[in-house]
Amino acid sequence: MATYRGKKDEIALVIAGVGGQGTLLASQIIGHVAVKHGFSVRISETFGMSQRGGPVVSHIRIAKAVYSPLIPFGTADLVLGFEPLEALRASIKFLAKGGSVIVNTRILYPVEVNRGDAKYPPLERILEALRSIASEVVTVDATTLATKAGNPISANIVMLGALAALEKLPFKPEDLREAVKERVPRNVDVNLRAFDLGFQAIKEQLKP
Amino acid sequence: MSRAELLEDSPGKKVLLLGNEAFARGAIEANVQVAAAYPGTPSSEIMEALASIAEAAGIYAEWSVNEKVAFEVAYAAAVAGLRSMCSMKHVGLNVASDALMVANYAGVEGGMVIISADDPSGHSSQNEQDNRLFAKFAELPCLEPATPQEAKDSVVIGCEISEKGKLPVIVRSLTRLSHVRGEVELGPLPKEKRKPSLKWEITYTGFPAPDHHKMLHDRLASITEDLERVPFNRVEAEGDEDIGVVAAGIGYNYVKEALRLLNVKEGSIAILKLGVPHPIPRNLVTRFLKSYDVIYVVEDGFPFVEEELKKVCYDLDVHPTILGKHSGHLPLEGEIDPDKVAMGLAKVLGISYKPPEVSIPSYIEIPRRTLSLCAGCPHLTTFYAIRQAIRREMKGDPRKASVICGDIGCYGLGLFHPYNMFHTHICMGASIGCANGFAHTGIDKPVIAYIGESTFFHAGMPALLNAVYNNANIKVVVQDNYTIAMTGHQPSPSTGLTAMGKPAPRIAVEEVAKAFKVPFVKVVDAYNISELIETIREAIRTPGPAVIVARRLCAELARREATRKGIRISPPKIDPEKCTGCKYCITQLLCPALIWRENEKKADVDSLLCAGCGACAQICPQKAISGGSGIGNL
Repeated sequence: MATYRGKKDEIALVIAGVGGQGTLLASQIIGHVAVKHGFSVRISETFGMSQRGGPVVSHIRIAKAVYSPLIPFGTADLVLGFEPLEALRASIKFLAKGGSVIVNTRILYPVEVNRGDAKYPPLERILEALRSIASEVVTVDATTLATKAGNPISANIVMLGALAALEKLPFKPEDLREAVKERVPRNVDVNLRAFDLGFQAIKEQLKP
Repeated sequence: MSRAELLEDSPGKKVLLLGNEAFARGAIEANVQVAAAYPGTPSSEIMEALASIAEAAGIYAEWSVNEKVAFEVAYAAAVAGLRSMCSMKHVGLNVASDALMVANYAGVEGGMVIISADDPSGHSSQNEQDNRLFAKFAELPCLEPATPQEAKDSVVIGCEISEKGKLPVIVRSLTRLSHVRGEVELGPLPKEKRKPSLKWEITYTGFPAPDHHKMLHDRLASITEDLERVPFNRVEAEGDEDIGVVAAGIGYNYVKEALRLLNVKEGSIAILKLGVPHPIPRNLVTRFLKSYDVIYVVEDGFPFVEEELKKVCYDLDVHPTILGKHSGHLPLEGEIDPDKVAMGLAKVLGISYKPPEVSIPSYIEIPRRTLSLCAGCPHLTTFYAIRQAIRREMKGDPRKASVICGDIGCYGLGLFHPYNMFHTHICMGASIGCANGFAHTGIDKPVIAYIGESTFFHAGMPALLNAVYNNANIKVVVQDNYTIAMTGHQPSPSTGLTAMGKPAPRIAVEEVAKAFKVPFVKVVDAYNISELIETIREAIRTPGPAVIVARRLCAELARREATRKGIRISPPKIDPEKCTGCKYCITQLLCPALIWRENEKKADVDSLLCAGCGACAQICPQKAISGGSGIGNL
């Protein structure tokens, strides 16, 4: 298991996405499980201005003792990308050698692309670039799966299911699933379905 | 964190708290009974959390109209013997500083904590000021917690020290504490509420100044020992080298990380963790300064501790080499981070360290993703109307044919490309204040102030009164969206709700303007673009001050409202036969839901983003956009 500097009880992960995608809730849920399991946790989040459609990044660190809430460059074990371009942007900066990337393939175009001022690279190129940085890249169409589960808004929960399936966290996938139930009291059924769909999608991909 | 958890009476239990929630929990544990604040990133969640539990906790919490009022509300409660707290972003303390600079002389009876949340790098701010300098300016104690745990504890300790010294205590937070989640061990909750008890014989004042100034000095001296003993201060390791690191506030977190990044053995470098930057704990630092030849100071913001230590060295006649921001080991601008601290420490230790660099594959170019106002935002339609009014009235480029003074809020994005709306963007209320000044320069172009309703109530009102009093020919556009949207939709005096969710009278901007005897006051629906343009033109043609209220609920809130009312959000259709690909809608309205289809060379609507405000249909020169429903139907 490739965890933070080879230690099994430590992980540094970056959640990257666009304002409004529910990255804050996802990082909180992970944090709650970690505290419940007696870990020290630091989550550094982007609030305020960047919620207006800008890139948002959460740094999550789980260990016996955590100090810096910010992950140093090139030391993240995992990047959970809620959007392809943002997954790449964050991976270039933070992903460690040998790290993993989970990427939601649903594209959200920046306004400069919408206006025709810039071009959005083809998804295949983004994945190719990610593969050149990461040792493992798995994809999930979280928005479609969330819609299938009952609400496109639950894409963040699909991503949590995907994260659980990769089994890099220092606790069990069921613990994360349980926390979704506890921490998101509304639409529990939809969210659990979303979690399971994300989980299965990754497990399918990881089959040898 | 749920409300129930914030009030949980389970001492010793560890829970995950946002730094700002930890401050709120600290207030409950400290028996704070009156709390006031004005929203501002990164401080807003302190009051959001506290207000959500205030009623259940039996305390009073309010969003004040500005930070000065918030300060005074909390100050008076502390004079009445209760414990109190006010919280604000760093620049908020500038607004409150008029009161701060006398409250320190006048003193308090109950403990009073002022939480100032600084924002190095200006993630959501117009400057990087370090409010530890305010503690020094006001000669007040300052605590600098490093973790969510210390954030909670700082309110309890701050209240105790404040009460003992009868002085307000400043707690300095920062983005990387206020917006950091971490485990926090809960402390006990207070058992009894206090009753207000005014000391009727005392007048709380700065007069006569020298006497009260002396009282401030005596009071500060009386708590020096307590400040030395604050548990956030400690020598963590004596080290094997002649190098010592002074890690102030959140700098400590990065020092610990830097030691790991550099593979330096735990305990081999001496660390003084400093949680009280002002007054600098002399006994603690004296021993440290005398023991090491080289001192590396790590702190976020101004080189405050660095300079304080140099002063102590002069007094002690010791001469260690003090490295930090002035020596270039850390930058003077921008926030510090583990990599910057590690690079500085590597230089101090004479070892090499470079953060790993990943080269971007040459076959890919990563476009920027700049922030934008939301789809359907009434600021977008109001911006458009102002530009059009000037274009039509002045027959020129709006950027050159008028002076537009911006203000603080979501619409502050108007200062960036592609909006390019503002010629000035300074601070809360400065749109109207600066407009007053431009109007009296004799400039021969319309002078426009653009401001949101909460900022208007906060600091715009005196400037508007000034415009009437001094007859400044300014056109004030107030976009009233019934909320403080930027910081997370806190209620404003225009919302009709208090922080604790109680109904309040809705204050209408136009009624204030009429009471101020503004000769031209009109209210327009911000989604009625042609009427808005014509009203602004009329105001430009009418000499004297004018107020145009462009009213519409914030699009984010409107979306929720539409869902509640069962209004379907369905985007309008763009008729490909009629769309000539002129891009007018995309480049002029600047709505993020309007997208460009490169293959078809046509505009289109992103159905997930579109809120159905109907603005694009109004402005399309080809009349190619029609239909749709959503927040425009509210």
